[in-house]
Formats: sequence, structure tokens, C-alpha cells
Amino acid sequence: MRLYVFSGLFFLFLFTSLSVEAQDRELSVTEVEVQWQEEAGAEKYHIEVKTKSGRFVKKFESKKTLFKFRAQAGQYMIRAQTETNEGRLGLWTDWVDVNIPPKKVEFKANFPTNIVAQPEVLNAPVRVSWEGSGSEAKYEIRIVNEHNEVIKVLETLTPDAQIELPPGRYSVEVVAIAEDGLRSKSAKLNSAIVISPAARLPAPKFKVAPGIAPQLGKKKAKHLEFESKAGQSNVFHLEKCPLLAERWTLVEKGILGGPIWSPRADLPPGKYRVHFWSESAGWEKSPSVSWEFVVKPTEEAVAWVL
Amino acid sequence: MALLEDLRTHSGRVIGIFFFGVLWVGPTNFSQARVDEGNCGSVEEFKRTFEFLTKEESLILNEAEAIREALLVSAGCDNASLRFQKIYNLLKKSGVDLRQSFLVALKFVSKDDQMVENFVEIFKKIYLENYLDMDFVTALKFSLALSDRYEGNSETLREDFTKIVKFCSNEKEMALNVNTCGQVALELTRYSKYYPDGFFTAFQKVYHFLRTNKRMGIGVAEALRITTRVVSKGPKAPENFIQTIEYALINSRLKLNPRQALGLGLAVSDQSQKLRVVE
Repeated sequence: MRLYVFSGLFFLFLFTSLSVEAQDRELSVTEVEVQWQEEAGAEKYHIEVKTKSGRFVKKFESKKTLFKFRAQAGQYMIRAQTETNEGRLGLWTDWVDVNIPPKKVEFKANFPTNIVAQPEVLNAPVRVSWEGSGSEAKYEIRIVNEHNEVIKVLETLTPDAQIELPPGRYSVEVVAIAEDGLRSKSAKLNSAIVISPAARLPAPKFKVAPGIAPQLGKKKAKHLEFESKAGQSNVFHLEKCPLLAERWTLVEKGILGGPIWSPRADLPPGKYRVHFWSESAGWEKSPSVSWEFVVKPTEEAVAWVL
Repeated sequence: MALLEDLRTHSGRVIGIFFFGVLWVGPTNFSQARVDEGNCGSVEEFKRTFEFLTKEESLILNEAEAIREALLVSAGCDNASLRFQKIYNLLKKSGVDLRQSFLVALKFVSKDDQMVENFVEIFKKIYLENYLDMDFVTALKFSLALSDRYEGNSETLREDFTKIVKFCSNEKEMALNVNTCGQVALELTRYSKYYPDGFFTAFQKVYHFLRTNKRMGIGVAEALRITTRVVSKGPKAPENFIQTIEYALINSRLKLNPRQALGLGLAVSDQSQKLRVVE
């Protein structure tokens, strides 16, 4: 609702959205109610409406200080003049801008909001649709992630959109935009769209003959080797525990640069446990595989115990 | 697990000690009957231990605790502190929890120096990768048992133990796992006292004799059982056993089959020790 004061006439605009049938399709129009203060001596009022571009829309006469007209979203201008009972016309007021924004869109309720990403592409196609008013020229769709960051903005001419998104939690906002650039209020999808990872990655596999567990030690294998899988990385956490105790503390963590993990040569004696799991964008991280080994002191280290 | 239970019991005793200012009421086992075995330079032991414990920052002992622990060590009489430190340092350098290292070391304060040397040497032979490479708990268990067992030449005992374990775990010999072999070797070391030069050669000879004689058809487990029985009868038993079987099988007048010859060999070797009848 806006109030304009011009040349003694106060205009009060009230906008009400309506739907009307027009040429076999439903158009959203807005009923604009214009009201002004009564002018002394005025028998009736003349009102003219034209588009911002200058196209004449309508001319009204009214004995009341109120009239209504219907219009699609757009930018209009309106002016008025008084007429006395002697038929004398007053001066036209200046043109007053009337902007009728597009109607805020309403989402359709029949699309899924819990989606599992496709394993081939690790993304999920998200389809959203809404009721268009028919008067808007296009729509702007904004995808907002769980950290409230806008990660994607796109425009569409039709009241629907399909977006490829990686796993995550998103909200969708749509703004209708009229021909002349007027924007509707932003409509936000009620429920978040949740995209689950395509699948859980398989646990890393030690590259050893079946049934043979890798052993670490000076006289045994000096490293663990995994079957490598393209596009996924193996993460490790190394923990240490003193012998004759159960007190594990994290001593090292990182991502394997290749299929081989070797313990540092300078690990102090004690019991160690290393956990490995695979990670890859769009996938749920794999279950972990663990390996325990003991680093023994060298003969030199215990040659002199005093 | 018995070791750990033992440690917990010991820990309980430690906690049971009451220390208040300069008033010291000793460990509960002080109240037990004690035999006077000589005089102790306990002040030296206390000083050495107290200084060692206070320098050992990773133990995180306050002054009262260090005094209390040093008193436990100095109760072991002369050289107790050195014995304690040797065991403690060995275990610490092996990556053992410090409190547990402390408790194991405490077990040695009242033992003699030779036993400590024995423990250290046995532990290295059993635990280190260059030797038997057993897991820690097994290595500790065997080391404690062996260090407690020695009678006579401890070096011979260690040699016998490691040779038996190596022989037993050798793929070309008995091919048993190293922990089982440790148990076998520990059992056999009970008879070490009968063999001043070690029993391994005798053990090996009897075992090979049994396994290479195809006519007797003896498997690994049975050969091990028979060999242990023969070795347990003293240094003369192996020869008595082998020669009896050879005699029985060669002598045409005995007409024994290999199994019967084996039985005779055991009967004769069982007589290898002169037993005195106690009236």
C-alpha cells in the first residue's frame, strides 16, 4: 500500500492479486484500488492510466473518491483531474508511478526433497516447479547451501527448473521477474532439499594374498599397500598406546599420496594402531580398516639400560 | 594375565602403604615374618632411587610420592636401586606404560643381581626382532619365569631356551608357532640343572633319532613328548634311550617290533637317574 500526494490529491494504492482466465490460460492480474481525498467543489474525477512506456491503458470517470482497475504486473503511471458541477475541468495532476510487482510464486508440492545422488555422476538432478502467473517474463532461482551461501543462481523462462547438485542440504528460492524488470518477493521452498551421497565407498583393501595379514616390522613388511582406486583418497589416523596399558592417543594423521603407507622410521617403541578409510567427493566415507603393530626397540637402544 | 593380576595385587599393596610426614609405617608385607639376611646400606639405595624418580619427569611424582616409592625400592637392600633402574629402563625403552614398568621393576628390588641380569638378557633374546621376536606379553611372561628359574649357569639356560624355540619354530624341524615353542622350551628348562653344558644337543639328537626312524612312524607331537621325557631323566638318558632301541632292533634274539623297541628304550632311559629310596 502506498500513499502519494500530488497537487492536492492524495492517492492511496491497494494491490490485490487475482487470477483471471485469458486466452485459454490463467493469468495472474492484480486489482489496484486507487483512493484519494475529496476535493472541495469537485463533482467528479477523471483518471488516466498508461504504461511506463507510454501506452495508454484506460481512462475512468468516477464520482467517488475511489476506483478499482485490474492490471498485469508492470510499471504504470496514473494521473487525475477534477471536474466541477459547471463542467469546468481542473489541471491534471503529475503522473504518479504505480509499480505492480509480479505475484510471489507458489511451489508445487509434488517433487521429492530427499534424493540420493547418482553413482555415475555423484550428483543428483533436482527438479523444482512452481505456479507461474503468466505475466512474468522469467524466474530467478537461487540455491543456498547449509552454510547459507548462495552457490548457484540461474534463470529460467518456464516455471520449473532442473539443477544438478552434489550431496548436501539446500534451500531453494525463486523470484519472478516481469518484462520490465520488476521483481516479486522471494518465495522460499518450505522444506530443505537433502541429497544423500550416492553410496558408501568400499573400505580400502590391503594388497596381499587372501588370508594373509600384512605384518609390519624390521624383519617383515616395511609398509602396507592398498589396492588403488582412481578418484578416491585413503585417509589414515595413527594412534599409539603404551604396552601393558589401554590408552590410545592420536600421533599422526594425513592423506595417503599413493597406495602405500609406511610408518615413520623414527617411531618410538610401543603399540600402534593405524586406521584407514577412503574418501571421495559425493560419496559417503568408507568403513575403516585398522591395523595394529608393535615397534620394538633396537638392540642398541637396550644395550645399556643404565 | 596372571602377570597382570600379580601386578594389580602388588599395586594394591603399594596403595596400602601409609605415609604421614616423617612417620613411616612400612609395606604390609613388613609385618610378615622376616629372616635377617644381613645389613643394608639403605640410605644409598633411598638416595639413588629418590633422585632417579624425581629426575624421571614422565612418571609425574610429587615429593611425597617419590619418597614413598623410593622407600619401597630401598627396602630391597644393597643394589636394590640399580636393580630397579635396570628393569625400569629396559621396559621404558621398550615402550611399556611407565606405571607398569615401575611395578614390574619393583618385583626385582628384593631379588639378587644375577636374577636381574638374567631377566634383562632373557628378555632381549626373546623380545627383540633380531632374536625370537615374541610378542611383548609372552616375552615378559617367559622372561619372568626363566629369570626366576635359573639354577647354575644362567647363560646356559638362556642358550637352551633360545635354541629350543628356534629349533621348534623352524619350518624344517617342528614348524610350531613361536609362542607354543616358548612354552615347550620353558617346560624343558626345568631340566637344565641336570645339563651343565646345556641340554639342547641331547634334545636335538633324541628328536632327530625318533623322527628319522621311519619304521617307528612317530609324528611331531609324539616325538616331542617322548624327547621331553627322555631329557627329563638326566644327561645319560638320551644315550641310554637311543642305544636301547638300536640294540633291540638289531638283536635278532629280542624279536621286537619298532613300537615295542621304543617302549623298551623309554623303560631303560627312565632308569638313567639313580634314585635314593627315602625310608
